[in-house]
Amino acid sequence: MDKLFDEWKKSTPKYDKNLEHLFKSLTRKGGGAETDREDKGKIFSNNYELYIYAFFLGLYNNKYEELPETAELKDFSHAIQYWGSTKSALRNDFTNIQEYLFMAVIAKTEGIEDDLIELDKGKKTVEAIKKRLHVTMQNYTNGGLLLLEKKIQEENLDITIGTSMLDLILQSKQETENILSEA
Amino acid sequence: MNKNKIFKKFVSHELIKDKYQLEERDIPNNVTRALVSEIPIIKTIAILVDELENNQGINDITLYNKISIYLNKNI
Amino acid sequence: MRIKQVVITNYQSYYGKNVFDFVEGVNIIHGANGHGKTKFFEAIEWIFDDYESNLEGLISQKAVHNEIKEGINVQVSVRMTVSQGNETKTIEKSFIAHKNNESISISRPSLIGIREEETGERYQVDFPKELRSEIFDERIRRYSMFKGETDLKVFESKDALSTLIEMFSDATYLKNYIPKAEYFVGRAENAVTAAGKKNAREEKQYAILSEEIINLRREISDKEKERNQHEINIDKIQSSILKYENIIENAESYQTLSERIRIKEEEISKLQVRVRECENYTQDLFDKNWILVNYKPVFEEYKTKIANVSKTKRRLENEFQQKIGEKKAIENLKNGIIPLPIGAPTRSHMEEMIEAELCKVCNREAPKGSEAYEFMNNRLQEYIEAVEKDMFEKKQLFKHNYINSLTKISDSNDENISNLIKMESKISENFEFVESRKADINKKIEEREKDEAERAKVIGGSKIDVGSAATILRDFKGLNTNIKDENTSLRSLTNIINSKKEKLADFQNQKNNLDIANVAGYLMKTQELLNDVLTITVETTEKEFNNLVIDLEKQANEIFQSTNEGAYTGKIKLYKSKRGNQNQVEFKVLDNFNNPFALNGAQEVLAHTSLLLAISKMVKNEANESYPLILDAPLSTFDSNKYPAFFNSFKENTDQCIILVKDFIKEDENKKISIDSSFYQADIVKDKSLWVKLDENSIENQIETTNSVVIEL
Repeated sequence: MDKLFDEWKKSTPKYDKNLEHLFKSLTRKGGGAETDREDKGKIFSNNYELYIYAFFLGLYNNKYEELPETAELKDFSHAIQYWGSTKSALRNDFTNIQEYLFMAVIAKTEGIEDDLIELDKGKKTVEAIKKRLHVTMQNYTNGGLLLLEKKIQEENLDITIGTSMLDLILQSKQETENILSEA
Repeated sequence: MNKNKIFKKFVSHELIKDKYQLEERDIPNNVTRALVSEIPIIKTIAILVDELENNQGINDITLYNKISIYLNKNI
Repeated sequence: MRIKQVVITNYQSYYGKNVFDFVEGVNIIHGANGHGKTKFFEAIEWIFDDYESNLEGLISQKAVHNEIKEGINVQVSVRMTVSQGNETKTIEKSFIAHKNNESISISRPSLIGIREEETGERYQVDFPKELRSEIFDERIRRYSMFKGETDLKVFESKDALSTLIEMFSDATYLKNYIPKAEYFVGRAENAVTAAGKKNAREEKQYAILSEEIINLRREISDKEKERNQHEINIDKIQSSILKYENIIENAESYQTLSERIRIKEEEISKLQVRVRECENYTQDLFDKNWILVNYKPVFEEYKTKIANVSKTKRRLENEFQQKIGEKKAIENLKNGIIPLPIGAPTRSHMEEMIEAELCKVCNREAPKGSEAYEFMNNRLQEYIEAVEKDMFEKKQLFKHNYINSLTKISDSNDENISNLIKMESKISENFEFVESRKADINKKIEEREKDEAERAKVIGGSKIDVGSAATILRDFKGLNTNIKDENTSLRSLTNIINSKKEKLADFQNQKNNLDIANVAGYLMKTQELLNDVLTITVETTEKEFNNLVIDLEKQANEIFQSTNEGAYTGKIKLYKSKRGNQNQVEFKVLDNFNNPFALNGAQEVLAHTSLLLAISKMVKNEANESYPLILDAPLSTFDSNKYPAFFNSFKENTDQCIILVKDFIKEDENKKISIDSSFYQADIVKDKSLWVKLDENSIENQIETTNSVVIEL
């Protein structure tokens, strides 16, 4: 069967190199070093956690920020299909999130309906679709990262408080509802 | 310590009166007089005190011989 | 011996030269805490102390600051001048301190002794240490200088008191006669035995008896030594048990509380682990999918979008089929309705509905021949054809089936999405859980703190140090077991010794009978007389010691009663006991029924000082010389009405004493200190009083300004 999801998750999305400092300061090296002293206070276990987080934060707050055309793009060479898989006894597997990411990207990519019809007709390639989906994903993530940067740098968000990241997500429910009611 | 004082302490022991049946007047109150006593227990104690106090370094054998010679003859 | 003068120079708080002149009788030195009272006492002790440590600490800090640091040499010295017999003797201990780069270098302390004879001839002695012990023999000094109440308790040690008594009792001297008498008895016995052997008709029996007697004596002596060891052990254990018994009750509650605290701590740390597990908020965004908390509208959006795409695709497919002339499709489209995809409902469902002549989708009857029946029948045929048609492919608009896979994702997640709605309440449940666990932790911490406070009280009430309670309990149990074992051994040894003694007496009787029959009478008589000499020396020595103990007890009680002014405070008892050949004297205060009398702190001090004064009198009698008593602050537990009696007892029972007190110092509102007028009342005996105090330039907590000065009142 033709599974778009399976194709999509083999790819690795990118982010603006200018926001790399967020990855450096908020995530632990490598992803496995839970006990590394240097990593104390770093709140995400690895890069893709921050990426996922930023995506949802952007999504829930409707922060769709297009990457500047001149932006140098970076990725962390870790395809989506591996995101959330863990062998650590301290962590749970959350690979199921991949599907939610996918659904969200589909839902939020404007005009993707036509592309999908074209895809099924064989007139467009999976690669072309994936490219469009990545733009959506990267732009929401970009929006989320910018929002996070603003919260930390301008609104003095104390990231050492355990609930800081969760609170941002919970607060954005209000945002989502506002947006929906406006629409 | 004064040898008379020591002597008097020893001869005040109840054995002297109880067992040897000595009266106060039989008991001399200094060593010099006791040395010429004819009562063996009195003279023995007197020799012992006199010899030891005059010559602290006297050896036991000499002292015993002196006492036993006296006693074996006079008891 | 009388202390005439003490001069303290640059020693501890005494900066410069400080002269204390003393008289016969009661000398009182006043001093508030920290003003140099104890330093005076320590200065005298220092003269007699040959173990030098931390000399630098003895230098007056003010001298260090004002002189040594400026490069001036400083002499630290304590000098004591006494009169003894017809002589005047001075002993001085000193050292020089000077600056050496940034540190202080110190010379070896030196001791100088000066003797001034009756004739007025005065010279420095060659052996100052000898002069020093002539002045104040170490053994006497031990019972003449007391720093506070705890020092006074030296008398609670059985050995301390007996050592002292033996020192002054003639018993020590008379003791020398015992081994002589023992030797004589042995020789006389040997003479008898030798003579007995020569004459014995029953020679063999005599030899056996002699040997048995020797063996039995040796055995008895060995067993007695062994028993003695057990007695010593029992004594030691007994005194340990007594010591423990006072605190053991505390130790038990200490342990109970410690166990309670331990359990609480365990509970707290378990709760903390659980809280920590629940507080991985960022991690749980992923692990527990909390990040999907707002996802539902997104999903709805996706679902709608995909449903529309799917619909569009089917419409396009139909239009395409229509365009290539599929008639059936046109018919199906006549109402503008987009038919369900082929194969829905399933073939078996369709067949079931046709069989039943009933449309189970709209729940309407479809009898054979009706339009509805025909519709269903056609639909089934269409399906069958479509299935058959698939086998030989025909031209189609759509080549791929990606959209279908997207629908499937939507369908399969439908159920999961309903869980997302509950997510928010799960998160708040988690918060509530954490909060209530945190409250639990706080409650437990409070409980633990209560127990800890309780435990602190228990420790404060006794002398248990933290951590030792368990050891104490264990030791206590061990001690009780040990003492049982020791007593068992002691009993069995005593039985063995007694039976051996009986045997010995029997053998000796048999031998005596043989001796009487065989040995010359004079040898027997000599033996008997020398035996009596031995008894006399042993018992006289014993009596001497006892007499002194009895005398001391009598003296102490007289003093004790006079200080208590008619109030009944029990009687001082000195118990003499023997451990092996060693005398022991135990100090006790008993009531008329010979039960321990419960003394308060002041009474206890009075009982001890009474004994001390009695000892001082005993020393005076036995050594023909009296020594000064020097006591530091024994009054802290006293009511002021006890003072006159206390001082008076010293006046009456010593020739000279120096008493250091802090009790008559008062402080006015300007923090200026003075001697309380109550001290000058006539009923407080004093021949001389001095006052040591920090001078006006001394600043609290600035040790380099500290300077104690002595003022004669």
